[in-house]
Amino acid sequence: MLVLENIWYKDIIRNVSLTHSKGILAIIGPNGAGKTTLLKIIAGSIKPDKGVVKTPKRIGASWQNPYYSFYRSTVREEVELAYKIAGKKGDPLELLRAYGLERLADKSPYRISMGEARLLSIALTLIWDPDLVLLDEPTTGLDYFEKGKLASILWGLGKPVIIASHDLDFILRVSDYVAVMHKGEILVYDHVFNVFYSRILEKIGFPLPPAVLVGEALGRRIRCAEECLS
Amino acid sequence: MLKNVLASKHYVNPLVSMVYLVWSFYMIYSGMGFFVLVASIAISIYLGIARKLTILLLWVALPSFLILFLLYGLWDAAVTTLRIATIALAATTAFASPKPQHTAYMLYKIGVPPLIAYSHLYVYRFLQLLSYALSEAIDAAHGRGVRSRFKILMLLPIPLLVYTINTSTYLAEALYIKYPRREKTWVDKPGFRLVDILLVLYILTIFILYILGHDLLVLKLLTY
Repeated sequence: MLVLENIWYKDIIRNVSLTHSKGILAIIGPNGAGKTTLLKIIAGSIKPDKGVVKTPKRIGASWQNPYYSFYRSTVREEVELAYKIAGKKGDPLELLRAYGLERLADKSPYRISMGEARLLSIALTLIWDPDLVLLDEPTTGLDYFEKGKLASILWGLGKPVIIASHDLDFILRVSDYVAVMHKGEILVYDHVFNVFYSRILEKIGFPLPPAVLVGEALGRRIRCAEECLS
Repeated sequence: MLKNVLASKHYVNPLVSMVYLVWSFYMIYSGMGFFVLVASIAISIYLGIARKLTILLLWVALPSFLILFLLYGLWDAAVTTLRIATIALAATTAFASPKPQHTAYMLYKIGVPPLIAYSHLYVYRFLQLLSYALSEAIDAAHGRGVRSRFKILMLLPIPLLVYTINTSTYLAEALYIKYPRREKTWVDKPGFRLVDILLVLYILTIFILYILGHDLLVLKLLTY
């Protein structure tokens, strides 16, 4: 279980408190809001100036630049290394197939596209079975199908995940809870639907995803029709 | 630390810092390291890098102290470690104190080819980028479940090397775009400020005291 109590770090994080134990939590906010810094504090790579951080021991993370996490000359060898690090046995090709990356098995991980590299980095992170998964901007460079693949993988994980992202459509699709960050503070931390319908996103300058707008319009029509019928 | 050097409003004239470096080594060689230590600490506080420098020094000094303590005993270990720390501190503050643009100007003026003077400026930028890349690569290794420091050390060179090669392409482009211009926007003429005058005065005072007063008790007491 993750517990953050009154975390302060320079001017970037201001009195942030957060608890998360189950499901997918998305941290959203504009650039410079402190999302990545908060993830780094959770991962333990940044020590906060003040506050209490209680985290599970095994924290897996995939950061903004996936290319930093590759060490081998082919994607297959990279997966083999990840299995070795995790002390597990597994078929690299089977894992790559699950992520739709089997065609890249013999390619260099540095020669694949950003989206593919990101998916691979997430796959490598999940191999060692961490207790908490941190994903920083996981959808950058991913196409529609890759996003769908990632969403289904995240749903099937069954362990707490924290995502920092701008991609509101993806967050609406996968997350259970949302924390809205603005200027280092958490403005709202609630269930995803409550946050999207609370209009807080509009207040900090985010356009609402089309799905939310359609949902609202449908809701209004249904209400209108009910009123007309009654 | 590099970030501090690049962005800081606190800096020393490159000529003065060079004189300070030469003086420091001469004084350390003559057993007058105490005065170098005082000057180095003062400069590092002025530059705002004292805290980070202390951590760096501990990394250098502690292992040396432990090895020397085991081999030669407490007193010799303490004196030698202090000397090592003084040399490291003096060299770091001397190189960190001038603004890169000022050093580029000095190099350019004394006849160093502009490309080298210009490249020197970029080395600062590149080192800053590399230190950022290093911390990102360490975070990525932790994220993949690599916990052992030795394993991280073995794995890190690969992503860092790839990063360096990739970034050098952008660097070369930047060099190509900026360098041929006649207007040298990458240099800045350094001036002499109060801090430079104070440093020169300190250097001269200690040097004259050392030359004239070998037998002064205060100097003898502070010799190491």
